[in-house]
Amino acid sequence: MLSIKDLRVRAGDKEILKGLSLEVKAGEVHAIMGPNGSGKSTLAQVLAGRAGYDIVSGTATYNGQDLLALAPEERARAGVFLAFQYPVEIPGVNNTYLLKAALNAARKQRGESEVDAFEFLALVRAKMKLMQMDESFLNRSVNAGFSGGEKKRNEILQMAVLEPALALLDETDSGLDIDALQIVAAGVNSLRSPTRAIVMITHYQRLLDYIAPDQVHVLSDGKIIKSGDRSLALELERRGYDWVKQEAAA
Amino acid sequence: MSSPALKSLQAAFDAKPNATASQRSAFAAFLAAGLPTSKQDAWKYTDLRRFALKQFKPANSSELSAADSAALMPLAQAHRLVFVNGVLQPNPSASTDLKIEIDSSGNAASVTTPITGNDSFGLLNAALASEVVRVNVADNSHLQAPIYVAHVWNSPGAEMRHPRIVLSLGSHSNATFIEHFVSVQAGEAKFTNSQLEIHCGTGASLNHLRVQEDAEVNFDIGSLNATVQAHACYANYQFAVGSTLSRQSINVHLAGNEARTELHGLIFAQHTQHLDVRTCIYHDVPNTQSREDYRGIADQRGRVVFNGKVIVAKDAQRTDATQSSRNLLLSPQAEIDTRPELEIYANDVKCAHGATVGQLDATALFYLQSRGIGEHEARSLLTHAFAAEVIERVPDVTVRKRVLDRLLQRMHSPIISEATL
Repeated sequence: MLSIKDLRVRAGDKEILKGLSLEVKAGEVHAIMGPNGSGKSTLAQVLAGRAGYDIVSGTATYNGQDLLALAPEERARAGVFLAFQYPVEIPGVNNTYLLKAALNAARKQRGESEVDAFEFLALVRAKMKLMQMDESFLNRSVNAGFSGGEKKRNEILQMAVLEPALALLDETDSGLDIDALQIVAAGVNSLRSPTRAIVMITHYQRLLDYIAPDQVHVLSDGKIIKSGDRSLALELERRGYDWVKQEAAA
Repeated sequence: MSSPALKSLQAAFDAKPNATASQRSAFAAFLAAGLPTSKQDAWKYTDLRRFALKQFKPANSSELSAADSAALMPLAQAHRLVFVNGVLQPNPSASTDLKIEIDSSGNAASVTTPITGNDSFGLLNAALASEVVRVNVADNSHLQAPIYVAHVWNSPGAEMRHPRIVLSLGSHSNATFIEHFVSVQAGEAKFTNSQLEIHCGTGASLNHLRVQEDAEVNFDIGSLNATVQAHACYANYQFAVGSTLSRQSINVHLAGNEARTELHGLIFAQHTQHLDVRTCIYHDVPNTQSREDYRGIADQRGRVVFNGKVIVAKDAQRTDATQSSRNLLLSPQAEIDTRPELEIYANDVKCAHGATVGQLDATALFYLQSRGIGEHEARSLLTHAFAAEVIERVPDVTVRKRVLDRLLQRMHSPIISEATL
């Protein structure tokens, strides 16, 4: 589904991704772990289409399309979803409106008609229940005045409504207490499916206790230096990142 | 050496039948003052050379066809005063609580606002206004229906009008006043030069909604002078989106104990529009309060000018004044000049002001795009969100809807109407 080959990305004069390769197939859940500054968030932003990065070389294809050639909205409509590390507050833009516009944009892309108003509300209510969110949220502005936990839950709610083919979760666990983490994890797990891929970017192993990954990758200094199964995450938790770096350097 | 505009104004005055002595002296004073130039501080950012090249002739009355009437606000109930090409249509709807007097004596001195020697457009209005329309709300009356004053252009020619209106609210009365400037057809550049005077008696409360959506070729100059007596409240909501060049001066005098005013405004200039608003709030006595929130948006080569002044007199202790000017630049060629000014002569006051000029938040844009919203729509949504905070405060649903529609039209965006569910 997602194939990244030798991707090199610069922000200003600084090279951040230095030849990153990654293969993600439908049905898989991948975790990308790594120390601060290793390029984790840059990878998420570049895949979602954030401006301000220069692609030096390499490719990223999504279902055979050149992902990097698409505008951010085209990627979203094609089924790529980024759950932001820091969801943006947008006073004056209604939450329900954004959900509906986003859903209709994706439906239009698939050649489907706009969602029926009643169907839409029923869908959103069901997903809100899953995320244990209050109804009042529907009338609020996007993330405006939300707590950190509410913002993260809102990201997963959007994902649950949009049902993307490829979900990128950027530090979705950061700043969550254990209750909120469980709710968010339940939301993500409900979306696991043989047709969907999930890439979780995280600093800590903790999230992986709740969302079991098929593969774990260590990102360090702009490259994936080691990949393994879930046991790699547990080992990282125990031993830190230095041994992997040493191993890679050897 | 006089400009085409001045020549045409002179011709209009010469052709005026039965000019009174006060009109003659006003016109002489106007000629002596001349058109303001950008050398004057009050006109530093607004250049009238474009205006000076035009010529205008006195407006002719015309009937409003049924089709033209669609341009008016679809208010369910209203006390209507409709001016077509500067001329008041017959039978304005008065009532026992609302008296309307039309004074065609040409005696400008009967208007209580002093016209100073350097207020060129005020003098010009005094010289050329064909009548003074006085609207009086009786003491203790609570007008249910709004007073709707529409200034409509429906002629193709290069005409001008000089409306002069005095609205007085008796003590402990309250009312809503909707002022609407609109064109049915654009045609040649026209010129509006309006003077409005408002008196809020003791304990009175007025909501004044002003929508200026004149055709984008027209020139609109106007002054508003409001006096607010003790325990009275004057709230002004202004939306300036029309005309090629407009300049509105709002002067509010808080003249009695616990008098209060609120000024809310949205100025949206696009194409090559130049929209200038100048407000001045005078805290003349102790215990008065003012709140001001103006938003400016400039797109393409549009230019917004805002000057907000608060003057606290020496004895006006315990004045409470806040002013905010927030502005959004949507294009690299657009320009916004904002200048907040505070003059405080008292020592026990609470005054705050702030001004910002910025662009759309790039992170918010990316966030919306990452949810499948196209870039144009995302920009429109954020622009709308910026403006909507002011629009949502408008205490009349018809006007609110009208302003919102105009905003959406300007952004060529059909999708946003749902955004504020």
